[in-house]
Amino acid sequence: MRGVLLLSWKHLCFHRARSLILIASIAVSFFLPLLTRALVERYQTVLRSRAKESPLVAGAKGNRFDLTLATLYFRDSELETIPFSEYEKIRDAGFGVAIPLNLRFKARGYPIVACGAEYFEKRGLGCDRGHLPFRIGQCVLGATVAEDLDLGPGDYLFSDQPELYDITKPPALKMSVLGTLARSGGPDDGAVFVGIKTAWILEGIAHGHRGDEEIDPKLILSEDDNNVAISAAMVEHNEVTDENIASFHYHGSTEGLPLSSVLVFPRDEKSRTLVKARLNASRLYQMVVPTDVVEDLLSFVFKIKALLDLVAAILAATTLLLIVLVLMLSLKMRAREIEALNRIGCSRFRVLQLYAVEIAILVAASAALAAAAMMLTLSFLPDLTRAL
Amino acid sequence: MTKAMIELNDVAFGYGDEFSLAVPKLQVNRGEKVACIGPSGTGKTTLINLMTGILQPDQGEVRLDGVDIQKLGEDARRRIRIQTVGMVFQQFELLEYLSALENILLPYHLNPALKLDAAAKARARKIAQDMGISRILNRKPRQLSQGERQRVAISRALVTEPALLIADEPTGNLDPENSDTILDLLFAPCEERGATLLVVTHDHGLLPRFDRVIDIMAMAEVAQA
Repeated sequence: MRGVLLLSWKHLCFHRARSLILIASIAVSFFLPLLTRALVERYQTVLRSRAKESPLVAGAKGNRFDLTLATLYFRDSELETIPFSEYEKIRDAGFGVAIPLNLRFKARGYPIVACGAEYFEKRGLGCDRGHLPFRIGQCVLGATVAEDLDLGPGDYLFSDQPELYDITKPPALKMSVLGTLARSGGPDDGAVFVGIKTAWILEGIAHGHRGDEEIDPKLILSEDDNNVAISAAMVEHNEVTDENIASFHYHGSTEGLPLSSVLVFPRDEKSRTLVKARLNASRLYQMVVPTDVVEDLLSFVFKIKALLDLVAAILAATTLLLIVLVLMLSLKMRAREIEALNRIGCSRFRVLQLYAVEIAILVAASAALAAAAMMLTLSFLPDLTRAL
Repeated sequence: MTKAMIELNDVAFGYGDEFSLAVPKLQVNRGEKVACIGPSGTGKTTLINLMTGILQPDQGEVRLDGVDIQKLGEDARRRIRIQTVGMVFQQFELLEYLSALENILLPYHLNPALKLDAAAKARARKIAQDMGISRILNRKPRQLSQGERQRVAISRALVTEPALLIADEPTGNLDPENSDTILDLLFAPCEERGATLLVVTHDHGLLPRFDRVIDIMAMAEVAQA
């Protein structure tokens, strides 16, 4: 057998390029179905666990997938807003914990998650450096954001300005970084967290400027009991400091302040049913169950997986045909060699062994390559699933 | 031990209606150096294949080293061939993916009955030294000259110390001087060990060096379509 191994190995090494192409082709046909399976399983696990941790999500009527994915994963979407008063109603009904969320802004490309303080407790998030934000204009960074931007407590982070050339829009807010979160392995790692009131500064609904007595009367365009219109020439504060924090104020009532969604953690099954029924009775708002939405989403994923499995099967069949073709051509090309071996005294069984060992080496090398690729992929799978 | 190394009695073989060969009687004795001559297509290679059990005759008896090889199964015929016969092919038939040394040792890789031990490796190196190819043992056939490849092929035929060495037109493409050298390389080990040598050749200038010449046209009945 040693002789057969040596001859097969030498033959494969001599035809290096051909052998490598075959190994790569077979490895791909092993790797693709494994990758699909691993990705789908990873998605399933991640989506289901996050959904389980988020019992109910309230938001404006519309696409429930958008509402769920935006609330759970901070995905970009054009969600209709829900007023702060709806959050207050849910909270005051006493069915459990309600957490307001505003997900409409970004800082250097990372989503700003404006939320209530209970969010960190419910998600099990804690700081590894500094501490959680306690006043407007402060932020705490997810682990990935802190690492990517190389920021930590004491540093500053500017919010992205949605309308750069529109001077009527609020300027970018210079937020002071108060802490960084310990890595959680979820979407929270890639977010910038601020208090819910900070979002309204970003919205331009709340702002701060010099005191009334210091405003040049020429900048006041109109004034009545409820509203004051001031020229855009008056510069607002773009940073909240100990000195200017008192000057920040809202215009209008807080009831209509916009939220993207409300995370609801009902006290018990009855509260869950009631809170859900109440909001769903409304024509403007909806309460979705993330686990249901995720299961619907996964049913699409499984359909795609079935398609990918079919593609992988076709690829495997094509690879098999390729191998058969290569072997047949090889048999033809080696006919003289085999004849010579036969005349020297080599049995047909030995020739078959030579081919079988060559195929076994190719398959083993392909399996090893596919396994190595799979292990590498698995180590990057969390990043990969996040990127996808 | 019988005197005859090869014995053919009333052997007949044919490829359908295309070709037939009939050999009433042929004997090659141990230690003899025999040349086999005849025009192209008269069945010289067929005769060698019959002698070594590669082909089975339609009738008659073929004895190799005293054994009636027709009575043996295919595997046994292969075994006796690899243990008794060393063959040098006209086109050398070296495996391009093996080095010269690995090609010389090829019979050991192909037959589990032959043990590739230190003695076999030492013998391969000694033969290579006698053939003057010690320096090129690690090279692949395509890196060798025609002459070097031929010497590797002869070394491969000799490495198992066969009792019968058969060379199929070994001097076919060589000038007279090199033909003589190749014959020297075939004769020397056979004389040293008393092995039988059968050489198929077209080169009539070499015939005086052999103990006996078999003219296939005179010895056998050949019919061609």
